[in-house]
Amino acid sequence: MCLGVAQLSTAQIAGTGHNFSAETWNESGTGEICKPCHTPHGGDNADAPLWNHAVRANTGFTMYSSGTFQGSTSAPGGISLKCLSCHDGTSNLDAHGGSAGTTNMNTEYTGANTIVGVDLSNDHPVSFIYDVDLATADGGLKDPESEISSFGTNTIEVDFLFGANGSRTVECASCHDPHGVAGVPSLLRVSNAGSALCLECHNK
Amino acid sequence: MNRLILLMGLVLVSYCVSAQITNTRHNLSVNGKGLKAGSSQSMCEFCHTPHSSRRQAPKWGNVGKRYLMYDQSVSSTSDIKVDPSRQPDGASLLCLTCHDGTVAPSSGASKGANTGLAVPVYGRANLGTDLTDDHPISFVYDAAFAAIDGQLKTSPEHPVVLDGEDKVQCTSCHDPHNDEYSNFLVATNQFSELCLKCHDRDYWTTSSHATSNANWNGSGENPWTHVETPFASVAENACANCHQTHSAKGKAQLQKSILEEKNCLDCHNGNVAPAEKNIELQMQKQYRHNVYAYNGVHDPREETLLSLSKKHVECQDCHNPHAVNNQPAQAPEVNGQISGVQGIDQAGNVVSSIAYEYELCFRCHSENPMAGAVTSRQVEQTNTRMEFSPSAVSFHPVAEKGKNTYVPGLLNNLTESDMIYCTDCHASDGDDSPAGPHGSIYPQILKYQYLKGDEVIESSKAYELCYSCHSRNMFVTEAGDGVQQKVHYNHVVKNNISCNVCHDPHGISEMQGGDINHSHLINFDLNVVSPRANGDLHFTDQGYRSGSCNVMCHGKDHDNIGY
Repeated sequence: MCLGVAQLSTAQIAGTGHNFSAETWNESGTGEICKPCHTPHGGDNADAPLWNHAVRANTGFTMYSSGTFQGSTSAPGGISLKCLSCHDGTSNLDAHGGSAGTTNMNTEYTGANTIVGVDLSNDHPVSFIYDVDLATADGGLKDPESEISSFGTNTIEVDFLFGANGSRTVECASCHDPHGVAGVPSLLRVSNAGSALCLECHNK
Repeated sequence: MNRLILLMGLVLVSYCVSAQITNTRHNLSVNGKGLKAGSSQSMCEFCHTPHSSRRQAPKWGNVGKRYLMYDQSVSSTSDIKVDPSRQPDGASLLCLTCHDGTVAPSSGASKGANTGLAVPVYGRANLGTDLTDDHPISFVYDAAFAAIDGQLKTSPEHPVVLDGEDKVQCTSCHDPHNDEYSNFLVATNQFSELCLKCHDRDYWTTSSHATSNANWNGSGENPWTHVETPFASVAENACANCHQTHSAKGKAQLQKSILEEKNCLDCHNGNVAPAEKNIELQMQKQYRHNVYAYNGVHDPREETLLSLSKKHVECQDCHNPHAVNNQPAQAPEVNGQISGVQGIDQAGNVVSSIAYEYELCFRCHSENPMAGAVTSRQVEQTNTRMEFSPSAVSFHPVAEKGKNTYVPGLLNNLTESDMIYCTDCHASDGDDSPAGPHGSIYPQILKYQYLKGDEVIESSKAYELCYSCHSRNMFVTEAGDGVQQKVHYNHVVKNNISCNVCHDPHGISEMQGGDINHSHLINFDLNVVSPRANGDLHFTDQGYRSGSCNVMCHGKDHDNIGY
């Protein structure tokens, strides 16, 4: 299975916006597809395997809040902070392998709608605990600890949440697979046709 | 995390997803139930986007737009103060990005330019930008507000919710994702359950309008066309019988019709309310409390004793539609039909909820009387409160038991110590007519015929009103004492003089007459009775069933003629 995943992942990422193998900022376009994020040696395994990219500080963000949002989030953390270490628009794309880098999304991909920025107040919240208490308080969320996800085997918290049991959080990678899924746009983990991805958690 | 492995087993689940919203009109996707706003297969994106939402800066057509808001300037019964800066906010603003009817639903943020039908919402869903005919939104509803209103619960009951700023918003009553109760309501409004989560009307629970099982009989106009999905009975429709939450034609109190009486007569026309409560029929008669004659004058918070310039009559002046019921009562006590209304008591003071029927009549027929004198008399008094005052010289026993301890020929088991209602005389004519002075073929909205003047051929019909309590035998039988023979028989039968020539049926106030000249309701009709050559014109009470007259009547000089 693991072999299969590796092969499939490679094949998938090659066709996505995360295939930077030809970008001049990435080793002068020499075909490195994994290196901007991963390294076989000396990587960090805190939230994602063998991490090779500089992780920015979790400060300076404006977090989501709403009268109908019962969760609590003060700063992006975990794997979300790794995503935002490029998608904040100002951190350097090429800050990997110990290099500080010189190129960021704002200059390299001017106006790209993939730049999330540091103002997260208008983005789906991340880095908040999603548990049965939140589901109860909200009234419009499934119980992540008991309801089975659309994958059919495990609960929502197993399939979609991150972190330690008892404090599992929603992160960017709850919805997005940075390596892409065949046939699914926007690096989403599940097609959102019929708003299926939204409805994994939202009981509307 | 075995997430990646699980992805291997991924199948497109999109078409087997079913949520509450899926089969509602808010699913604007190609798979939705109603309006198709484009080619998208996603349901959420018409309102939500995972990134770069516009919640903080609504650009869906709200910029530069001004909404007209519901407040005290629209309805005197609203406690929302006029504030020109108040505009829809919170979640309501999001709803209005479609429901003000100016922007096509497909103008979603995530879609950029319109991709589908550029059709604004229409029909009932289109509220427009004039929100003065809709239930108010975007106002703070806290305990203080509830206290000022006096007819609201301290705070809304579940599942009605306020937003984070304690404001009522569209989302207080509507859940845009769930149409279980139709119209996306958060609870059923059968029996107005939803309305009653906040509204706490005095008297309501025992009102006929809350309990009646009457149905529309299918004749005439459906009284509930203003409701999208009306229930079958009056009790089930409850508030919605008269009120309309959105786009109400009668903006004040959000009434379904701008014509006050239409809110009532649409049911009280024989097609919903039972025949004995067919008021519309009575309102076609010549003599009536003409509720058709006024529009936009009545105000639930108007002064109790109306000034002349504001005189009017609407159903709601005499009836509290939130309180009416069928509770019977004995004179002079108020019955259920007119319970819970304001009035003027015998002493002239305002009462917020009348205890006696006459207190309601005094609203318009005491000070600042609506009606002038019917008969030109010796002494005239248009203030019925004075005429019926317990200290008046003589009076029909409406506000106090009668003074005359010997009234022969009383019918209907009446005794001298009984009291009567104004509506025993002033009521719709006809045996099966609704109670109360709605409309009559007889002047002064009298229940029975009451002929006046001096050319009346006596008959049971001519004075049917009087004879309904006072036995006709006492007048048409010649034999008897002086009163019966010389006064009543002689005048009424032999000389065609009507009761009204000598008697003033209401009473004679203490300020205008004395016991000697005006006992027994004596107050001569000056069209028939004139002064003698010496100027005398008076009756003199001489004790038990004895008196004399000094008048000129029918050319006959009554020189202290006695009996």
